[in-house]
Amino acid sequence: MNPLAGKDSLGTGVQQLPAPVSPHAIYIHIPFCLQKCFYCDFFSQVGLSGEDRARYVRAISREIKIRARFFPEANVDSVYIGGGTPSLLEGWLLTSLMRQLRQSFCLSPQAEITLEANPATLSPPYLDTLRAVGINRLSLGAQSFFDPELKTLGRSHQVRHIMETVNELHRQGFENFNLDLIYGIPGQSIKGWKQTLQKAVDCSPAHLSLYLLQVEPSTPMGRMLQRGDLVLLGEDREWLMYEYALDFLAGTGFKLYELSNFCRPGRACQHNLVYWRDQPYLGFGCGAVSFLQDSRFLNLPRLGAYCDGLLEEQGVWPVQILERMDNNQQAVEALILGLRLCAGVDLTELSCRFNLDLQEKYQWALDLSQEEGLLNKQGTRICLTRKGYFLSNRVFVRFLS
Amino acid sequence: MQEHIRNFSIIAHIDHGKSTLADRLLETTGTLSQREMREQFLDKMDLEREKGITIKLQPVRLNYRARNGQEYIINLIDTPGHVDFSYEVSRSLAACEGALLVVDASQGIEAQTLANVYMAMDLNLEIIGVVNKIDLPGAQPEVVKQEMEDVLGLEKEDILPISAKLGTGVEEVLEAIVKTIPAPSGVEEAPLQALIFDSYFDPYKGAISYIRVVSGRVKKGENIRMMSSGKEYEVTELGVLAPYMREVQSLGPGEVGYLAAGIKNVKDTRVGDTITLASRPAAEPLPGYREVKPMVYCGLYPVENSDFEKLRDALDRLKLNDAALFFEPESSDALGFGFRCGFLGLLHLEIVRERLEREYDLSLLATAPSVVYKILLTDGSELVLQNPTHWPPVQRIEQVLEPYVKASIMVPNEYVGSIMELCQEKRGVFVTMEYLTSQRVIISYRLPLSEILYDFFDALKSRTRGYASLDYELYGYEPSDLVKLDVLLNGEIVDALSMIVHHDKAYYRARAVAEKLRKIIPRQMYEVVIQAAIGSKIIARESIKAMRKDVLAKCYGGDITRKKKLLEKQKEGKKRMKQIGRIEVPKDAFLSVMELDE
Repeated sequence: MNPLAGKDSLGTGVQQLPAPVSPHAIYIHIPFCLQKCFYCDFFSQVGLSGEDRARYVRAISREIKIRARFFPEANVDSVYIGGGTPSLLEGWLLTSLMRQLRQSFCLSPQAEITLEANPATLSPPYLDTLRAVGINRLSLGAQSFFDPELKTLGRSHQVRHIMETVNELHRQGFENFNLDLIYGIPGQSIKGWKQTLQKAVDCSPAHLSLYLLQVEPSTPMGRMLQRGDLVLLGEDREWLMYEYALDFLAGTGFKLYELSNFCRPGRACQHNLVYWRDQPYLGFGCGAVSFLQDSRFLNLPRLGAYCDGLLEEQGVWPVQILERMDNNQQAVEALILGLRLCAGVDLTELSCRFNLDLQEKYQWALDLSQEEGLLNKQGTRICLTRKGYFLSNRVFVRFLS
Repeated sequence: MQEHIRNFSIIAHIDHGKSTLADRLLETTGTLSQREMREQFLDKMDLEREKGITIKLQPVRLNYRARNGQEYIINLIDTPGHVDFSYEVSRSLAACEGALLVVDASQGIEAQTLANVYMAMDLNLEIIGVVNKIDLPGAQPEVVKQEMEDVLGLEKEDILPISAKLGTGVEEVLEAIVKTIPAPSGVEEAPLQALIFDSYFDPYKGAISYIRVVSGRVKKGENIRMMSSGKEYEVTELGVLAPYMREVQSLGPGEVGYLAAGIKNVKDTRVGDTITLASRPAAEPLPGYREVKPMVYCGLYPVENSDFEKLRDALDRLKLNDAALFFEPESSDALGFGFRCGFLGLLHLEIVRERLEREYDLSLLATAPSVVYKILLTDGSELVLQNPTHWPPVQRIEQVLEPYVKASIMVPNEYVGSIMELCQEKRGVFVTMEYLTSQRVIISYRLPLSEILYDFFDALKSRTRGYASLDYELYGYEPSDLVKLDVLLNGEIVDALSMIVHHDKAYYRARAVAEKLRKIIPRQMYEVVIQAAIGSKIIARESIKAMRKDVLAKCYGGDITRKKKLLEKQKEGKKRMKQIGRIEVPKDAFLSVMELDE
């Protein structure tokens, strides 16, 4: 059941790796939606009944219970409930889920516990429940402050829902929330983007995530693009939007800390920092990914099989290994993820962690990237420059060889 | 035995059903069982099967019991069906006593087929006319038979109507081969003369030659001599292709087979050479083939500079099977070290490049193809120019000559007007027009070779709804008003993109090339300015804006694996780029500047 246990018994050179770190971050995937957004390629399903949801929560609780046994030392200080639309879970189901989590893991009192929410799904009583079960951070998929743009994206909410929810949050003193915004939406003007940003800032969130619309071929939007029914804005306008956001948000007290993420002082998303700092995490739920030591695992994204497996008497965890990395690959990944953060990475620190001389190995990549003005190097610390954020792949690709 | 041997070729236009007929012959004679059979069996290269075209079939030996009760050995030695490879036709024909002329029952004779039949007639081969695809709805076998009688003088009633696809009439073809084609006439007791009509390299056995014994006999273990070089080797293996390699102890007059003699150097089994015995050499070699001269040259460069030696080795090997392939080392400021290669045409170029990449795992870029120009210099000397980079300074040029071909275009008469229009556009000079039949016309033009290389054939097809066919042969050199067009990227001339163009078309070409490059060069870190110039005069300009976006906006825990794969893919893409100065140029750019949409 436990891939790590299996690995140990095979004796595949675990000794050479740094001692396994007990994960202190947990992700929980809730794969339900009211409707699929046109751009979304995450695993989620629509049209499920309350009974289906209850069964799913029973299955996920079972998974938590079973897998927690392997991490008796885990001290969890970040929980992120994402989706899908986790705010579709009935209050009592969420309560039950959180109860199981606290039973199986030691959650530190200051733990950041985030729930992703669709602005149209948050009622005042539901907010009460969230607080009661310990949710202390919300991430709202606002996406845009223009209804036609929300329609283009296939979102189920409207601008007034965002405003209502935000007002309610402030009324209740729930200040630690994030707004997701999307730019590069077909039909979006630069002026419209500026207004969206202004309105978002007016909502006084603690955190803002700005995502460039990425159209995947397998999504409805991808197909529209292929048919020519949709035209993207093009890199020049997309870049202008990003540049504007950097300038505008800097003047309103938001600090960029990752190339798409901004926060008020002290409000960086703890959970996402775990990803970018290349730290281990456990993922529960159908379609969730876990990262431990040198491997990523994927809980198979098939809802029926997931529930059936876990609810059997013995309890089978339907999982597959997504990738297993050698030391080199791990170092590269740590570099690439770490460089997404404005703070960058410390080469000496990483070199020690992976027992490699990264400075020497990537001398040419570092030199070239600095020469192109994409990378800054101060002492042993490297980070992307402002110019480098929107051209970051160019730098990352150089570390892959 | 000798009187029971028949050697023949198949002359057919592409798509007229040669491979299918060959498949049926293998089946009907029982050379292959149903189980072993697969489509296009004798098409040797994957490339051929993929493209559905046959450049040339592998030779094969068929055993046939004729209706007269006698056993015959029938050797099929194929001819290639594309104009690029017409030189090879002569090699195959010279090894035969007869030829099947296969004509599509709805298409009729094509220009190039005609040229090959004339070649066969010149070599005194017996021609057996075959009308194929009589099962198709558009088939007009009687009309086509009449055409074959009118144009080629074949007896109409001797022409065999068949459907290779259904197997109809295939036995009659075999009977006709036995009855019409004479047995080989060589003398067993005479000194050995064996013609090498093809060869290839086998990593275990060395160079393997396909031979046709004309006179005498060759045995395993004997010492043979190559008559062109005088080099001697011991025969280590002899065999026939039936259709798989089957060893035999000796090959006598009229027989066709393969010969291995531990020949390491690929250049020592020249196609067209005569093999004789060291102990009792023939006085004279067999008549040689028409020497092949490449018509088009281009530079081939490894994308990775370190692959230069690997490329040389691969070219050496390909050269063994491909007498027409020419190459010599050259260097380019933009591309580093590579080879200037000569080809028969663009299909030939494309095939060689694909084979190098596929079979030898090379990543290559080809520069813009060029024909061979002759330049008379003011000091009275003559410069033969294969590479536009070596174009001399204007003040040293007395006169420029460019190669012309004589093109024969066969069309239904209603398209004469549009064909003439096309030829005029391409700087053609009208020669003659003849009616082959009341409906079909053959038009001759003198055309600059450079004008027909790229898109002429396509234009021809599209203006005649596919009915026109083309054959051409080199005619000679004529003076022409040519200039060298240079391409500059950010102010630096990229030598590999230089091309020779006619003065009247220089502006048009310059604009088209600049525009094409703007479309295919991806955005770079800095703005890229593309210019086209004649000498120091800039005549076209385009620019590519600096790259703004190369980012994965979202990257979270569940997604990292996939995002890394995207980066990996992006990195693979870089391998298809050649770094020129600071600019990454897709390796296809060099060839594609020639494929301009008109």
